[in-house]
Amino acid sequence: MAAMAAAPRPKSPPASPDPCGRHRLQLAVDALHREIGFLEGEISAIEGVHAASRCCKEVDEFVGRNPDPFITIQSEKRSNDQSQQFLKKIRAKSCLSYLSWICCCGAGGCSPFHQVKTTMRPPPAKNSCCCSCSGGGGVQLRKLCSSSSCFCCCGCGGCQCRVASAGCCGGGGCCGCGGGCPRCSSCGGCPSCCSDACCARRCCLCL
Amino acid sequence: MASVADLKEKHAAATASVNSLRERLRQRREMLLDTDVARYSKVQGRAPVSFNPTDLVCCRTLQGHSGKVYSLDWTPEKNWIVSASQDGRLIVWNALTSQKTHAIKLHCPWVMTCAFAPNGQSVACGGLDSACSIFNLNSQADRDGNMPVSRILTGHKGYVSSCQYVPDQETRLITSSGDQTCVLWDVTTGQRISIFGGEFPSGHTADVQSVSINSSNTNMFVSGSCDATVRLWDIRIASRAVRTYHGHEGDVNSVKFFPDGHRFGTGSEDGTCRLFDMRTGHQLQVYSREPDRNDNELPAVTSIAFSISGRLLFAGYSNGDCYVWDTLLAEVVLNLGNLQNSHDGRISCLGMSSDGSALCTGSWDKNLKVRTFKKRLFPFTTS
Repeated sequence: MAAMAAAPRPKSPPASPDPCGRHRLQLAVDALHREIGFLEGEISAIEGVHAASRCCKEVDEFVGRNPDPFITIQSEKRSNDQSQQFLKKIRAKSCLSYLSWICCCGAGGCSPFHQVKTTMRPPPAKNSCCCSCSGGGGVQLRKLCSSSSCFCCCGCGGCQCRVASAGCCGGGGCCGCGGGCPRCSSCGGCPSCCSDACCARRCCLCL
Repeated sequence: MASVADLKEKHAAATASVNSLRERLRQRREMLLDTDVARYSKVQGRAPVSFNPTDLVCCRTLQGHSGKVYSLDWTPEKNWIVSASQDGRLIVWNALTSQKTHAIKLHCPWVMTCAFAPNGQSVACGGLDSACSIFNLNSQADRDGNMPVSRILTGHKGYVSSCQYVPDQETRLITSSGDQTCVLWDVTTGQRISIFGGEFPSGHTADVQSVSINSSNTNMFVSGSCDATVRLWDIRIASRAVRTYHGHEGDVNSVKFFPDGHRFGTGSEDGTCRLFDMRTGHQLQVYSREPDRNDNELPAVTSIAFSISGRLLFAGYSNGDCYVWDTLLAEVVLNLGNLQNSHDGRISCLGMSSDGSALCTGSWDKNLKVRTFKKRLFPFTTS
């Protein structure tokens, strides 16, 4: 009698690579390598980026420049009147401060040096000025230009000390102050040549 | 051909590199965040804005939808508004008179977004049909009184969440979608000009909820997504996002450019609004409300709009609140949801008129409301 044949045993599936899993893994690795490239690009790009304070300044100045139908002058002025009274007191104190480099600026913006309290020591240089470039009459020293060839220019990018032939106003469309630049008195309707609204449209020299 | 084991090793190494680079980037960004808008403005002595509850007048309530209002848009020039509702209709309103000039029954009632063309002659809408339909408002209605659709923009593989015409271009429209992409369309041909994201790298990794085109530079737009990021796109370069903005901790439901064109605001499921700088990527300000007494989860921000100067940020929330934020001081100056004659439900959409004189809100209470500043009621006093 022939021996009974052994019962068939199922064969194990042939060992083979899992193409779907391998393909997905390859795609994932490729995506990660692309992400690495983007991140490296962002890291080198950020080296040249300025701090957030400059952006905040731009936001603050933009909002301050533009009228808004939802905000009347009264709804801000009410608060402003009170805060202006308070600021006047602060200014008065500041001008008498032992810190001789603090100066007082008018609400109209950049003030010529003679508005600085003469009680301060040392007296500021002849061609220095205090600029309030926020347009809100803030009391802050911006620049003292000590060189006799410097003029103090306000508005646009803030207060800068510039030689007469160099660009006066910061960015935003201001041109250089050399040659035929109009003087502040001819800024035409601007309350002050050191206000952003004026310097944005034409060149001003702050006298 | 690399083995699976090699690939796994490469995957682990690449993941470690990505995490390390992200941390370096985060630290570098943190060093550059030397202040925020509120701290800066306070130091500058910026006076706060104050409103009396009666200063913002609800001068028009637009009633006519029979379902939740999901979206609205103003015309760029006239005082017309288009709204989209769960009732499956678009309604075009004269905001001055409250009259309905058009009521458009949609093929697909599940509409999520609508937009006016720059010339005010057409409207676009999209939703769960994954398409964007264009209607010419000068078309004659058919025998059943239905306005014919003039073009259907098909191609998205998911719902259309948001749409906006490119300013001053009647023929270009951008949509955002649940398929994780944004698309720039040629409305006259119905063709997709560019696809932003999707198969290409640096696209969103979840549904895109909102788009906003920069009116100062119409080549640029931002998109907000359920992947908690906002991405900046240049329509001339669809292959990758220009920049990705991190910060939110939940879906970004609404994005809107700041009036200066260099910043944009966001509103998120995490309950906050944020202001980002487009060029540097800095997060300039977070507008975060106080948790309620019961310490419940913060209500989500559903929609935002800036006033024309950028001084005010209007934010609609899922609990019916509509906060008016002072963007410079990061303080809430008014809650429109607490006023008399406010909406009875979630505010789903907001829009500012092009001259900045009126704010329209749309709500799940089926109504739209137009608000102006009391002392500047003209032209809404005429009817």
